[in-house]
Amino acid sequence: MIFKGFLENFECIATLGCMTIIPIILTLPTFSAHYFGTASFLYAVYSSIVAGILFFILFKFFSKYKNKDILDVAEIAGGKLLKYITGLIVVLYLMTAAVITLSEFNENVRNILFDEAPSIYISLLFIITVLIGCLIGLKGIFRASTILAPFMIIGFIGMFFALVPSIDLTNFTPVFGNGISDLFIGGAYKISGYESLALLFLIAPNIKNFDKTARNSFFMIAFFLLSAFFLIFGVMSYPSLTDNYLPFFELTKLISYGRFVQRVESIFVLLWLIATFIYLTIGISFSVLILKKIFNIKNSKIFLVIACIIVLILSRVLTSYIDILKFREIVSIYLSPLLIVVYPFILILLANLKNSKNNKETNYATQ
Amino acid sequence: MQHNKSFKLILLLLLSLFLTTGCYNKKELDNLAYVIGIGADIGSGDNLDITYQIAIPLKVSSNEGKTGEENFTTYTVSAPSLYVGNSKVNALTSKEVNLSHVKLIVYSEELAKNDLSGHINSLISNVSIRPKTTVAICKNSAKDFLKNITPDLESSPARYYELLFSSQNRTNESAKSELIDFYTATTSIERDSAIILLSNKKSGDDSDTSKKSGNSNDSQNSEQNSTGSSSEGQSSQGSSSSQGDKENSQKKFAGLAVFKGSKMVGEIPQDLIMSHLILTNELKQGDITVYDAKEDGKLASIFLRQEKKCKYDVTMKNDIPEINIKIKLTGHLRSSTSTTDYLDKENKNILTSNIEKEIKTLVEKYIQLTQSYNTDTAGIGRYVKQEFLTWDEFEKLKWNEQYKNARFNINVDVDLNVSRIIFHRISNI
Repeated sequence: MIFKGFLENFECIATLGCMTIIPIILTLPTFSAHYFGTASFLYAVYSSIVAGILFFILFKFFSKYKNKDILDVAEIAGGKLLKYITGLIVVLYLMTAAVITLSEFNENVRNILFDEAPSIYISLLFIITVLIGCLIGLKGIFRASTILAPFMIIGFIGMFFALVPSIDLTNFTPVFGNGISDLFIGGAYKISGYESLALLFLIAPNIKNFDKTARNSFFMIAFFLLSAFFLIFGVMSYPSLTDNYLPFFELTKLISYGRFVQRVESIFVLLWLIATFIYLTIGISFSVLILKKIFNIKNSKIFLVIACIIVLILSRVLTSYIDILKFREIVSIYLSPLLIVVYPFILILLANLKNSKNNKETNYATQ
Repeated sequence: MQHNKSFKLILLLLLSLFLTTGCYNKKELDNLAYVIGIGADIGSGDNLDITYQIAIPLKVSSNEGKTGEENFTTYTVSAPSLYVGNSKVNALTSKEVNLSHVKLIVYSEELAKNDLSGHINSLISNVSIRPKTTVAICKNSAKDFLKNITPDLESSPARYYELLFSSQNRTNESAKSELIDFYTATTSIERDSAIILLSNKKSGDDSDTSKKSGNSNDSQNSEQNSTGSSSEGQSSQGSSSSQGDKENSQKKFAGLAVFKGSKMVGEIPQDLIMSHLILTNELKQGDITVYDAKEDGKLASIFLRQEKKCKYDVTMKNDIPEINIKIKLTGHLRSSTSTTDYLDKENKNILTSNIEKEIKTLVEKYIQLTQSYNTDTAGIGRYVKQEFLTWDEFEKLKWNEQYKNARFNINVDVDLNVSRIIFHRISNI
């Protein structure tokens, strides 16, 4: 168990949903537009099916280890060494994602909100908030997500009804976009929209009903992903979307009901800020908690401060938006499927082999 | 003990938030100059003459019952871009320019014929400017248009623009002309854009006022400011002209400006706007006049509504698209100058046929005109691309070059309703 305490099903579902919002509303639609063109919504459907099948198989194999997290599974598979390696890989991934998210957040906030504010102020103020969140504890973050998630769902449904008149179904054609092979072969690998689902491998021992939580979390993420893609690609046409790295914000700018309801994007900004806060807090908290577990650290709070400082400093290094996008693409599109699906699958397979080998040896010894 | 420490730390950090924030970049509402219209004309050298129409909120709120002509002021600056222009206006005015309430962006025809791509890119990437802001082309000088506009029936100029440029919801005399649509069309390979064309020529005034004012700007190469707009307009009108006449003569919709990419290549006359609205499924309501079913020289006036979207069937024949367009409209006979009984089925059918022929002729004229410019302003390419499986295949068709060769079959079906009409037939004695 990486942290103490049990989590309710809805707390996990809400948190994973909130964490998914970050890639969905920021860069994932634009990357998809580059890769798949007009077939981006079809890609969202296809990647949902692929991710659904992969995670179903993965969770089926993992069901033997419901009371263990992925670090415990790694220990079963390859001893302490593999546990350390796995822990460090996960920490590295979480910290990298946190650094990119903070840099991206800083750039976007300066572009749309505080164009005159020095960028260090934005990063500093936000990382202090994240640090406070980390100090309060993970349970508090999971609870905060349960408050936020209903607003997110209402927001998405509201947006859907507000933008339905602007949806042009011809934007989804030609149906196979940039090519059939690009869509079905390349798209099978690009399942980073479901990256937050891998968090279940870390919190599995804290969940009361793993199967139900995993299933509902998947549907929650699918709801956000599919509705976001349907809206973005239904309203904005393909070639113009490839230049827009904050399409969801642009989408909210189109919403208005007469003269009374206008500038809805301010609500979007608020939800985005809270979702980023949850994403960063969970990323940094888990990084420290994993280190605490693998190195048996007793007082980890000072490490939370250090981790926040590291994220802040590294995010200050990534000041070019082009570099941020490149890193985001490498990490989210190419690395994340390896880490969220392939690596856990290998670990579970090794652990199963080891278990069956041990069982055989035990049986042999008994006989 | 541990909790107590954490609490103190959190409290300290929370307090630090208030200490680290400053108010050096605070923005007081009273200190902002709200721009409601931006105009751009070709200036000297690489510069543009950018005109800012700025609302005077104090006058708007205190001018109850009065017209909006004194509720704004205009500033014209010579600058290479909007951002530099903003900076120059900031130096001219006591307040800081704010673009979040811009309702109209107007370019001169001369500038539009050069290229608008750079300007549109800077507008669309400006976070303050709404994507649904109206973009229009002015046949003369954009500066003169913004200076001379007189919102007679509305005291708030911003509200005046909002109502004026949403008139496509109640008439077929204008069309939707939003910044986001214009940008999307200019970056697209499946359609071109058509945006509102405005004219501010005064009746009987054939001289090119834009050039005159533009030249004076160039020669001075300095900023100009004029409060109100109507002084020149009123003097040119004479005391006998009514308010309505004044408004009509100073600015009017003059059709649509047709763009190929980001360059203006032609115009669609006012009488063909209805065809544009029909083909883009935007006809909310409109009126059409056709000849009477029985009596020569008599006219019938019909109110039209587009309740169903046009149906586009595309077939490719030797790489040339053949497009069947089915137009379905609902009509109500509003009035007739004849004594024909339209409750009679035969008369009604003849009138329906006349309406269908008239609409078909208008739509064919529109398509012929746009084919002559080779610009798909109705966005028919969106339906053509449905016939292709991949983007590459569609790109190979080169729709923006093929449009002029496409063959169209127009089928108009009008469902005419005459039940509501009340006949007051006066027979000729």
